[in-house]
Amino acid sequence: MEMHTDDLDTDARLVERIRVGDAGAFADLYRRYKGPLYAFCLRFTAERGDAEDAVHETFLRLSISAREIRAPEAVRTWLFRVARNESLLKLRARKRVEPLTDSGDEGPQDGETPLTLLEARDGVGVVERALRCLKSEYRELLLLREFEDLSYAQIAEITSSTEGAVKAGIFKARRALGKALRLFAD
Amino acid sequence: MSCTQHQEQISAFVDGHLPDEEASSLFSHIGSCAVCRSFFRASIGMRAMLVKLPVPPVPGTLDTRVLRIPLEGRRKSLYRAARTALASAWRLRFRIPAPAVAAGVVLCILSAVLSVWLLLDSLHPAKQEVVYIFNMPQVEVYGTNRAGTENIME
Repeated sequence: MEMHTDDLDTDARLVERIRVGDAGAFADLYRRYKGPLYAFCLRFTAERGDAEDAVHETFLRLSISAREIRAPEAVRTWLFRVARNESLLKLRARKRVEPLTDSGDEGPQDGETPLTLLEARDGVGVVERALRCLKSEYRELLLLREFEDLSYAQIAEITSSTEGAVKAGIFKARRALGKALRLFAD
Repeated sequence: MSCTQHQEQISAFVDGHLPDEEASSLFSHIGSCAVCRSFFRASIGMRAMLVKLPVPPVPGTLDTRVLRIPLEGRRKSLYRAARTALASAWRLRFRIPAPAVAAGVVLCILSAVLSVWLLLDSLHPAKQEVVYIFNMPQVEVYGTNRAGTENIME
């Protein structure tokens, strides 16, 4: 989902209004991003309560430090960065999800992709499970790239990383997801 | 270039981040490598599958929690409004400037504290002190009382 100039302007305007205490602008911005933020936090933490808390903390941060946002037009990136950090704190507190290690270079065999294996099964459930089994650093990259359609530069800003690291990370995440899908489909 | 490096290029291509000059050499490799061809198909397929995942509904409790958050700017505005209202009410009821009243209150508190201190000092009995002097017998010293008499006992 690419952002249009109008959306960016509106985001910037909303942040400006929030800075002077406009509760309506705060509610508008929340309604605009609650869905994507909650979906991201839920898939990242794999826990409804944690996802809800992370989104709540994100908007609490916004209410307190709206004046400190350097680029109001990039508030979407700011929100995802805060939500990601909050989710990471929840994950570290729990450490419930066992990561699937990504060792070795073996890829899928020709003619047998994870999708062909999943065709006759509950694809959605398996994909969700496979996503949950990824390392958190791979999962966040895939979520930001595939669901939010953020650029490598934006993802690098959210994850406090570099574009090169994001590019390599997304590749490894795709490879790990492929392996996980094959594992669950078998 | 190894297959791993080609697959990293495939991943970048799927995301639209591969430069055109690298794309032609990548596709010539994909044409001849079954493993990379499979990874290419899988990457595109996974992307399509992820996008199709249903969006989870946002719980109503989250709406309630977030929309109750008071804004920092709003908090400051409320404080400013309360301060202005208080100042207006003060001006309406009293014609004395607030700093003068505050100075008077401080003076009253100081004089009250001083009075209590003097009263307690007059009522407080003289303290008994024991003085130890090296190689000397122990001497108990009684402080001077209000009548001006001294009691020294060896």
